[in-house]
Amino acid sequence: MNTQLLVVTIVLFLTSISSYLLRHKTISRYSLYLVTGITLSFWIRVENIIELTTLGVVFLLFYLGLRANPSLFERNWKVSVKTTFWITLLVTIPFTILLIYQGFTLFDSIILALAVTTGSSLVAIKLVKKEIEKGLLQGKLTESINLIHDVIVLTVLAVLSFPSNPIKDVAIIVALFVVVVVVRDRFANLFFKITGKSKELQLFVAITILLGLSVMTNLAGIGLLIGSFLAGMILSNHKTSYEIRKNIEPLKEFFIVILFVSIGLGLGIPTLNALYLAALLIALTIIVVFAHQIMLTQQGIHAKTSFYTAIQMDQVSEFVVIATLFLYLDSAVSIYVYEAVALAFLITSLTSLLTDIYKEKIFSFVNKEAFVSAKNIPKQNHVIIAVIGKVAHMLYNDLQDKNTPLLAIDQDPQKVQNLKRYIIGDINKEETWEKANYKKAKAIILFNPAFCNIVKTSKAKKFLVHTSKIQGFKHIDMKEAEQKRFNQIIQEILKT
Amino acid sequence: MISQLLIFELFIILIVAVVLAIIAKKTGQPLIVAYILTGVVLGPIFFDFITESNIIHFMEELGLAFLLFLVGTEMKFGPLRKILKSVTKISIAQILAQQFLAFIVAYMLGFALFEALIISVCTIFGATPVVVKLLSDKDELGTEAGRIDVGTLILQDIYLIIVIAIMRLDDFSNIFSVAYGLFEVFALIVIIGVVSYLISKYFVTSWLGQTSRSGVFFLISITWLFVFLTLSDYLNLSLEIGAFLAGLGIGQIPFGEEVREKIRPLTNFFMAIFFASLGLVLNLESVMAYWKEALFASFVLLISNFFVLYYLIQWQGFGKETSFKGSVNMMQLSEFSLVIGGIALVTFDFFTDQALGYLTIMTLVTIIISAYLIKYNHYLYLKLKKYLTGEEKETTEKKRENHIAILGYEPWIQKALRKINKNVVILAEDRRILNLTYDKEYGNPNHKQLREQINIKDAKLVVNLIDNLDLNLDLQKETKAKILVKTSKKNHTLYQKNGFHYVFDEEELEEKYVYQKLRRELS
Repeated sequence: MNTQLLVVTIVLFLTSISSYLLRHKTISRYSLYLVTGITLSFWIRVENIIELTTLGVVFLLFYLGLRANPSLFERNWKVSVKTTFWITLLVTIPFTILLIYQGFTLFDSIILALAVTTGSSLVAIKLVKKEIEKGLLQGKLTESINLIHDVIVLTVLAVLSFPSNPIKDVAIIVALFVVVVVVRDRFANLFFKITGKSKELQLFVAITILLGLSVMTNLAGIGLLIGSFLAGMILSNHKTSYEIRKNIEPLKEFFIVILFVSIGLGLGIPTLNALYLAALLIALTIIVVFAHQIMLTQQGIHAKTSFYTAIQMDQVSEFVVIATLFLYLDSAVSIYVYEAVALAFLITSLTSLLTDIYKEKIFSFVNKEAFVSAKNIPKQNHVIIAVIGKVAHMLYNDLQDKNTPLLAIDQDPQKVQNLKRYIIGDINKEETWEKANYKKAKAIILFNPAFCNIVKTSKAKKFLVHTSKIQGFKHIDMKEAEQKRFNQIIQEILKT
Repeated sequence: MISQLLIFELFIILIVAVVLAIIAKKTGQPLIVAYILTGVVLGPIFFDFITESNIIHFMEELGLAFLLFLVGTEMKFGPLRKILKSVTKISIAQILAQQFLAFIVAYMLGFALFEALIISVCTIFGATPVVVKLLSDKDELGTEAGRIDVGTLILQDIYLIIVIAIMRLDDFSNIFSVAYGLFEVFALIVIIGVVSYLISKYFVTSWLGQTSRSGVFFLISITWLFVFLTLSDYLNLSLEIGAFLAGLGIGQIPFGEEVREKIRPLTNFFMAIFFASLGLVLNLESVMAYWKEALFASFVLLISNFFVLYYLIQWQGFGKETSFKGSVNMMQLSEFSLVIGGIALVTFDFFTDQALGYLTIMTLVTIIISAYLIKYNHYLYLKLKKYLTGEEKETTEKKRENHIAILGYEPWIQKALRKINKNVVILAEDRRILNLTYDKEYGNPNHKQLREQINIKDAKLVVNLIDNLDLNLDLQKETKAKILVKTSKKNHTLYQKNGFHYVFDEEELEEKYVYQKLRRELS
């Protein structure tokens, strides 16, 4: 029987089953793969699939590199760099010193400190996907801070793993990043000139660049991980980088399963020491979150945006986990450092999903005073609009000079700050609605059915602008417009 | 512990493959030629640079498995039903005639009896990936000739699986053990095939449906393949048979196309390594041993392939053009001749690496020539039609044409369509379309092959509900129909600048409608 085939099949089978069964649960896929690895660690050794794991690492780094496009972050760069600088100075370095003082080696201490203070791009960017698409500040900040974290982690790990001449290594890495940022547009144009629209050729040229740069950086003495990331960055600014990402995704998905299962295989059942250390790391991520929030607020970012960005830093970086796995297999770090880092990654990638779901509640709990702010709240006979989008703005501008006062409610300060009457607050809380005197309002217009329960007792005329209907609310289906117009246009086109 | 050697070896294979692939692309050749030549360049014939490690060997195995999985998923029996009878007759006669000719040629050229027999088995298959790819590039998969070719290739592939099964038998010492081995293999094939079909139909459809658009979809698809590979391995069947049967099940469900598209990049990656590995085992001596004979045989088989198929297609009542194009497209040897040759090399003592070299040259030569023949099949037809026998016939079957093609799905579209009593085809990656009574195809409209399947080219109107400029620009090239584009406010002008006259601005419509309605209510 082909052992390698059997191992891969078992790995895929278990991950598929668990992913399918838990598809509706808020569980990170990577944690599931890791748990599968832990389960299989009694029968399978990580060495059995180490080659496929290596491919998993390079494809994952390449994929993350493809997402790392500094030009998209505009002026958020400055804020992100400053924040990371202060976090490094005030949290990472003191924590490293503390660990050394506690008897850890310099190597282990830096790994542990990096694990805590840098977030996971894989988990965080997925969580803020919608915010990134909408161009919201918290999304952009999360993306840019994570990219800086990735670059720092890769640089430090490259220097640590091959410590013969750290200054030369850092110089090479910085030079490579600069060269990549400067030449990547020309390079990408050449790439597409060569491949044309052939997806197959695009895939092969992209993988060749990936493997070529990995081999080159390895020969330069800084390891192949940094080369894989840089290969992605080279193609990240091109208009069709999205297509390459899509094309490479099946390969990444296949190998990444093996990679994370391997992390689990290496982990097995952790020792008590590792458990203590993991608990310490997890507790410290909370400090890191608040440190990020403070740094961001200090730079003029709104408290809520700062918090929503900072809370995405509550995981352990996957880069650190991956590098630690290989360092552990090479006996460069102690087993319980690896176990602690992997365990902390597993737990924080699970808790991170929960903190994302409950971030509003956590924010309102932590920032009670700062949370609600309001301006010119009418006492009665007013029209309340929640939440604020373009239609709400149009209505507001159109009707604000009329006799009926309009009150806007939204959680995002950026959306309402310029309006005449508003409340910035948690719309899920009855307190906020009471502040808006909703019981005495003339009309309530909701653009989200989630708040219908709170206001249903009000005698005001209630409207719900949404695709779903709710009893007691006059339903305005926006899709009706599309359907009507669609008919009209088709008839017009067919007549011509 | 990081496997640096693997990364280095893969890099060397890929860099050579990419350079050769670019040359192949510039000269209108299929990429398979480049991959085989990669192995030749890196193997003992030229640089002798790569030696096969365990992991590279595993990847080669996966390459072949993925390729057969893909072939299995291509086998949609539905569209073939109408021409199945004719295609079956054509295929059986073609296999017999072609095998006889190839055997005679090989035997006359000096190969031993059994060796010539194996060579003849290797030379009867058409190159499925090459033909499908080139016909799809020319939008000819849906033509009568295209469908006859695909049908013949599918039946050839079934024969191929039987051949592989026979060659994988452990004991050829006496007729009873061969018969028993064959019975065992066929029984297992039937059982696994039925299991694959039933599980796909009743379970996998639902699993994939529930996980569509998520990473789990891909994971289930790939696990499905690996489970069948392991099962085949465990039952002592070849991995290729397991892969083919896994694909066969998936090919019959609504998500077959989607699975194929998701799995294609992985297939391309592993397949390149597989084809390169074929070149790696060749040495100069074995390739050069019969190079003159191989060239001679290539030309004989190219010509005989054409005439055999031309008369067989005409025999089944198809017209002159269909017969000509259907046979011109199928003149090459398949990459599977090398697969079978490779299996024969490790299975039979009498099969020499010189015979594999002979097959390699023939495969490369016929694929290279055939790529140009397929590319210019219509031009050749026009030039040669006066010399061809037979009548010119119009195809009678109903095609998707003059229709409204809708890409993407929105729940309101169903209501909107009620008022448009026209010929509509919907292509969307949305399970809800499966319950619609309209003509539909499930899958991602970004895939060109799917757009070809709904015949975008001959549509009267294309409605794209997916806001993707690249897709819309592709549509502009693919069809002369009017294109109605749905987009958001921010992209409205961008589309107009790119020559889209019918732009359906979703946000603006919604905003205006809701605003007017609310304003009326409030006043």
